[in-house]
Amino acid sequence: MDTRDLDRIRFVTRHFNDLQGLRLAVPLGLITLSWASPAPLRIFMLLGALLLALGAKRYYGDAFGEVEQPPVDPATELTSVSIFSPAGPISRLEFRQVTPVARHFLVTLALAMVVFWFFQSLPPNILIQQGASPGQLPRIIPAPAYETDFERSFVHGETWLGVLPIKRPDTAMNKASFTRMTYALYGSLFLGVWLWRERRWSQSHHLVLAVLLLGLSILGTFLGFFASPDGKVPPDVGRFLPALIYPGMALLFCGYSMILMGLLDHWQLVRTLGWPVAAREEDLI
Amino acid sequence: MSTTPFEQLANLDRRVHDPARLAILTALTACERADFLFLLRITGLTKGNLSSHLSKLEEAGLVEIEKRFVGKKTQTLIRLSDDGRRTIESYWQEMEELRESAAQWQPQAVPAPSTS
Repeated sequence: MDTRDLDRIRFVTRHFNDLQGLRLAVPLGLITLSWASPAPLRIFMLLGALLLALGAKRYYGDAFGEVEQPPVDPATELTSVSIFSPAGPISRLEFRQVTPVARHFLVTLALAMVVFWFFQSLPPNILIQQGASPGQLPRIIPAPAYETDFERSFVHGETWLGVLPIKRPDTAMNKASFTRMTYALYGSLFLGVWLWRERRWSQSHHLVLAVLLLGLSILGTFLGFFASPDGKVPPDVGRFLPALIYPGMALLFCGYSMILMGLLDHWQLVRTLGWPVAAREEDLI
Repeated sequence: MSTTPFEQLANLDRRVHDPARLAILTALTACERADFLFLLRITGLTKGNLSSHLSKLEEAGLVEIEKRFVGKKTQTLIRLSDDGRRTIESYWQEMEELRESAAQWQPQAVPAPSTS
């Protein structure tokens, strides 16, 4: 047994619960796919996801055993600054502790959202308008996706609300923004998981999926750089256009990516721990 | 007094310095507690072997073993004791020192036998 084996043992033990892909990622992928499905199928998929999560929990327990993770590090707990008060010391504020995986995800998500909104407001950008017929792609007009009425706000002093981004009232544009946001959300999740899993080579499939989804979000955001003044985009970029503007496509991509992640996680667990035995037997000792 | 890497190696804690026990303790270091089945799967040991190693580790006070019933079957939960945690940390520190001293170690010149 060499140090690589010991490192693998340490890693799998530490991440045993979140490597259970059939219990976590696959149901989450099914839930994502259900959003893009018609109503009757949606209910069926949601129910399937719930049953799979419950069944997989039992399966992993019976096949591979159980691991209890250590409690969250108390050092991460936030404390209030104590100030003098005539009524005596102020009671310590208690914050709900956040698990490390959630903290990684929240930090990367917040960062992705800030970058997303920042670039969204940068020119040149595009405005997507609904196509004339249902089968037709929406029309792209090189114009800012969001506009800020600085002149009205500051020069005429009408309203301070003018500094906030005002959405152009177009459904197709809102859908395109939702699409980019979905890619950013799921891409951040994959990136967060990769960072949480110690940026290991064996976990690089998360990084690949993160780069793919964040790349689609960025491509959608910077579509204005590729569009000509008459709204035409180069054929290479145009090939990605449906994926960049239709929320259903984004949900399909993200849902299938999540399911793929879950299956790969499960495969890694099985590869490390061996094929599961039929049922739990009596322990010795 | 300085010791050679060989002497350091001989002084390593024998309760820990065994591939199977090291694997068990490494797994337990990475969690709060784990059950028997998980340790069986992660270490690749046989039931009898794992059971024997766990008994020895428990006797040495390095692990704590707790049994509970899950339905009609017993589940054995194993956790690292405070002493066990200190011991494994100290073991890795000794191994690191051993690695450093082995890298610096040079064999002393042995005088050649006289030919006359």
